[in-house]
Amino acid sequence: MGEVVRFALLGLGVGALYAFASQGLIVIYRGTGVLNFSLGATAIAGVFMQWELQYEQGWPFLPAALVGVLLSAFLGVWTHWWVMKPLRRASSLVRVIATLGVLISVQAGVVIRYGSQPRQVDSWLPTNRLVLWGDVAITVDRLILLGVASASAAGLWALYRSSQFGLATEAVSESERSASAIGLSPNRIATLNWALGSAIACIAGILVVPIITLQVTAMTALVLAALAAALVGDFRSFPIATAAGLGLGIAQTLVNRFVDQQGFGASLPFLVIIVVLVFRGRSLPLRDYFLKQQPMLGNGRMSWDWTILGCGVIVFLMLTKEPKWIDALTVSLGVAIVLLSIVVLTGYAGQLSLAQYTIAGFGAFVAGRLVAVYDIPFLLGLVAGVAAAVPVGLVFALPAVRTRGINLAIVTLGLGSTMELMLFRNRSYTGGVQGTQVGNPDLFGYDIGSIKYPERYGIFVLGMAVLAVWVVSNVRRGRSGRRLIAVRTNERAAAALGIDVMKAKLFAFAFAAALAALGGILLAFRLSSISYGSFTTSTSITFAGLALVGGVGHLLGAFVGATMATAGFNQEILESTWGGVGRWIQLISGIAILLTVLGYQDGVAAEWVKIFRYLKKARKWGRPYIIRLEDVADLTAPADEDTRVEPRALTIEGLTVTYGTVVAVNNVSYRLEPGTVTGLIGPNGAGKTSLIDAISGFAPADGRVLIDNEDISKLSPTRRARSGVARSFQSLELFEDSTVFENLSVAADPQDLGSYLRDLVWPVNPPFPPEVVRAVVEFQLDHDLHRDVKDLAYGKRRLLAIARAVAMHPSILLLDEPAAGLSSAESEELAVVVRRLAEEWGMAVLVVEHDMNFVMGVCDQVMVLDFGTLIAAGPPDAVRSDPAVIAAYLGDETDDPDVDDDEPPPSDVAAATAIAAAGGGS
Amino acid sequence: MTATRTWPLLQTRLLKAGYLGREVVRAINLTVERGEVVCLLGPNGAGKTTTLLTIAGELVPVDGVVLFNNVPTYTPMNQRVSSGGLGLVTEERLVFTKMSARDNLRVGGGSVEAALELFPELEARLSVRGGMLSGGEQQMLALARALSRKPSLLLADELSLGLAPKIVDRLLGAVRNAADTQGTGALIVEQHARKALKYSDRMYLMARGQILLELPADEAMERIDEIEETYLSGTSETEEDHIERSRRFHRRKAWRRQRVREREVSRLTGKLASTRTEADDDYYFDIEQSRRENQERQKRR
Repeated sequence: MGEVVRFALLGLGVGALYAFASQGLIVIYRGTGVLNFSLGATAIAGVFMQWELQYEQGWPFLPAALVGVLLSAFLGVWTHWWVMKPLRRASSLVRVIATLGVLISVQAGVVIRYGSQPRQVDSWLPTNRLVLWGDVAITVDRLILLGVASASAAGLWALYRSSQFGLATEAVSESERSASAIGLSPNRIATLNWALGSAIACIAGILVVPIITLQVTAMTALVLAALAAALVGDFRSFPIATAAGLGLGIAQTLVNRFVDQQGFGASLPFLVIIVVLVFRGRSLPLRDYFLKQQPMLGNGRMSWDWTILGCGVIVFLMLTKEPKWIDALTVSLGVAIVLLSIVVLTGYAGQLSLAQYTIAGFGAFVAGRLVAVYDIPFLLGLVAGVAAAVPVGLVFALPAVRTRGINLAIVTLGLGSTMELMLFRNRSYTGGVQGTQVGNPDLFGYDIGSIKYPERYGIFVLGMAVLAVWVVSNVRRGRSGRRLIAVRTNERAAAALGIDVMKAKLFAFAFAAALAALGGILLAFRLSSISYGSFTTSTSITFAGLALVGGVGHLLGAFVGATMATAGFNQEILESTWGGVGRWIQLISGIAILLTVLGYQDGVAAEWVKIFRYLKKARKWGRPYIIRLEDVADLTAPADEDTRVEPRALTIEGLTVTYGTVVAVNNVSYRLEPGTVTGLIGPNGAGKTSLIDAISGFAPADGRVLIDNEDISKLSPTRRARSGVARSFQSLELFEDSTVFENLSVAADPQDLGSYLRDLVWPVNPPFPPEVVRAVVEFQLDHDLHRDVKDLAYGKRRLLAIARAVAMHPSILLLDEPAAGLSSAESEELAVVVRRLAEEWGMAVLVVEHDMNFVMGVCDQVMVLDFGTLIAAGPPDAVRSDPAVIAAYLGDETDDPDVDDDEPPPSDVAAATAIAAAGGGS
Repeated sequence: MTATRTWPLLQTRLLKAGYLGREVVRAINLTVERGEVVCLLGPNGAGKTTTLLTIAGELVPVDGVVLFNNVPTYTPMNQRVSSGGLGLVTEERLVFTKMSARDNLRVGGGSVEAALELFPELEARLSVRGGMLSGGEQQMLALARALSRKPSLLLADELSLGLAPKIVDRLLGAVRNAADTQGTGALIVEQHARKALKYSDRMYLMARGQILLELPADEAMERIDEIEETYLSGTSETEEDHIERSRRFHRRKAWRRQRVREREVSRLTGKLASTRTEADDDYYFDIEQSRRENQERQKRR
């Protein structure tokens, strides 16, 4: 018992550091919504500055510490102004990578100046032992640290609770828009919080460094542990996070002492992260910025002549250059395969994973152990490793079902780190000190070992890379790729098209894991002895950065990014031109990541594609890419093909939607008949969109929704879409980087599971069925099929959004403000089409619309909602003259139509300027 | 002409807002004087909120200027509010859900006492979190915060949104009162025409991004049927008409410039350049339009 307490007290030192760092993280998060991975690096820079001034320049402690803290605060502010502020509308991936870029740059700068060896620093806190009771003693510095951490937590708690600054931070963190509408400057508050958070982390470092030794990487790795503590405190509560940090430090020390499982103690914080994020089922509320950008996507088409040319160049280099060049090329190609997995997962499916290289390591682990222990052939080991990675990928995908964005990134980081610490670092699993001996790989007896024949192995890796690109390209162009892109753009829109979002995510993770494993195995078998210690989480993070820099939406991006990998092709070029570059390489890559992220968020490859497209247009290079309707559909089929849908009626009974205390839809019952158009009108905030959400399953509702006699009110949005309810969104939710053809195909595709497998080798694009052809013609999209959605005019986009819903061939069509923003001519055309959808196709159409001309012209029936209640329903003319409707639109004033006593007299100016001017301005 | 001329509190000159090439608000001129409540009426999608947000500085104008006291203003929204004497209540109610009502009143540097004077019914709810307040209380809170800082100009977007008529009276009454006692100018966007007109001095009617009508409130009350008609039918200039009109406007300007140049040339060289006068312009416009229509017809074929 005494021993337990003694070790627990010993853990207070590192616990205090966790607590402090988590406070810094929370301060920055609350002020800016940024999860700052670079906190440790900015803090350690300040600590080193203090150390240098005190021990090398002979300054007294306090001024030296002050300068150090100011340096950290400055670095924090610098990060905000020059990195995070320009990126405030970027995707969360870009923002995470940006903080990692800062981390890499600052850390490299510190290493260049101070070196990476650990330094013992004398404690300036008193270290005499204080006997508590019996044999339990504690050094005074631990007690002081505990006191300072608690005092700091209490101080921050008070600051954010009651000061004007704290209130302003709280306001900004809830809504930047609202905060600036009441006169607060989000930027100023963010700056102050960055400075404060960085300063706290630096103070923590200065205080704790005597206990944990002064070393660059020690501090940066600690941010992840601090993350766990901050997560327990929900990124809000300072006292809880502080307690969690202290507890974590104590638990870690105890586990290290008493549990005989290597790496368990170190991975404890990550286990906490996983448990908190996955099982609490609540995720960090991240700021939702207006117009959040996603990285640009490539079209996934492979140009075979360019591929052959590239392969030829690489083979030529491999056959003629010396081994170090061949090795650099081989490494880059292997890394490119791992980066391709990030292209699939993050680029196409939009899932942020920071563990792809760890998964690659797992593949290599399985293959390596099988080859070493059971002596199976290399190729079999390769296949086994790739296959074994798939279930691991699925395990990593499970959190993705519940969390997204940066939360998912944190979970994958935790899972990856746990795997690294408990599996790869454990020598009893990985073949002892000398690593796993796998000897030389061979292909059916043909030796391709990299030691003896580097060029043979290089060409083998090249072949595998081409295979991987081909498979990814197939997926991108096939049905499954379209589903992934739909999920990435908007999960709600994807579900509305009948796509099973969960299965799409699982597929993305499994496929990406297999690819990563392939890359990992090829990288590992380069050497005859595999040491798994190199498959680290930090490399995973770096690889995510490289994928982004290369262009995470492009096949080519993986290869561009891979040339920048450590020991890759670019480094070889740098080293052969400039001998002493080795020290600077980290700094260079950190700054390169930062500059690319700031300048070209879509990556280098995306810029190349832009330039290439421009040249194609301006210089008439090559053939333009055009999809004609006759290419994708069988137009020779008899034209009188029946495009009528199965006539079904939608009945809603007592539908009620409540958000908190607000009743958005109140007990609405109605029946939509097939072949009719029903208008749904009402003033702003009357609950029109909520009603559509409730019918299509996006809003939880009481009451029943029936199609004919089938009750669908318990079904998920996906299942409802498949049973014949299609909807359009007010905000369109088109898949921006895809072509019109792909947007329509994704709706017309049958939702089969088999295509996930078949697309790997043969992407199937069967011809459009006749009803889709008719929809294309009806909405005049036949000349735009090959165009990217982002190049379309606004009116066309709206039509495409409706055409996409129609392409599902639904019995019931719900349109949310289809004519908003259309010109009057366009909306007249749309009215004709909507009419035809009901009369000739036999759909039951529900239209929410503000444009009264449109509603009155097109609808058979009109329902009017006010405060969520159905106040009128009937033919348009009757509704129009209904006094209740007029009152709803114009304000209920039936009680006193005459002028009140307190009615103020109009001012003279107003009377003088009273003019009736039709049309203001020009 | 008096020696000292006072400028209107707020003026917009040919203000265009929205996206370039697809302006939601097309060249409108508005004025608000001190102590005056002006309401901006119109059907959904007329561009009322866009106008308001552009005046507030949340959106950048596509063209035209916003003048406060005759000074063109380009500062961001938060500066206009914190130091420019602007009070703002938007559709989102600006209530921070996790903060208590008291903190909500304090957060922008406002005074709790002044706010309670305006709406004493908030006193009992001061320690309740913003998210737990009813819709009416939230709106009162937002309005009280804006008015407690004694703004010279108040912009309010749909104060009545989703609220019972009685509370709307209370809110609009407070705006009226601030205008009468403190000389605050107010621009309120409303859908409920009758209610808003009761409390305002003047109104603008907007539809399809343009101002159709400017009237004193009492006259507007008399012509309320006309206004209602706009709401339920949306009659106004179509977009094509607008495009055509602005095209003619620009062409006319270009031709006028060309004529000046030609006159200059003929004066210098003595040669007669062109005999076309401004009266001929309309003839050429019609020719151009018919040519364009012909081209489009052929393209469609």
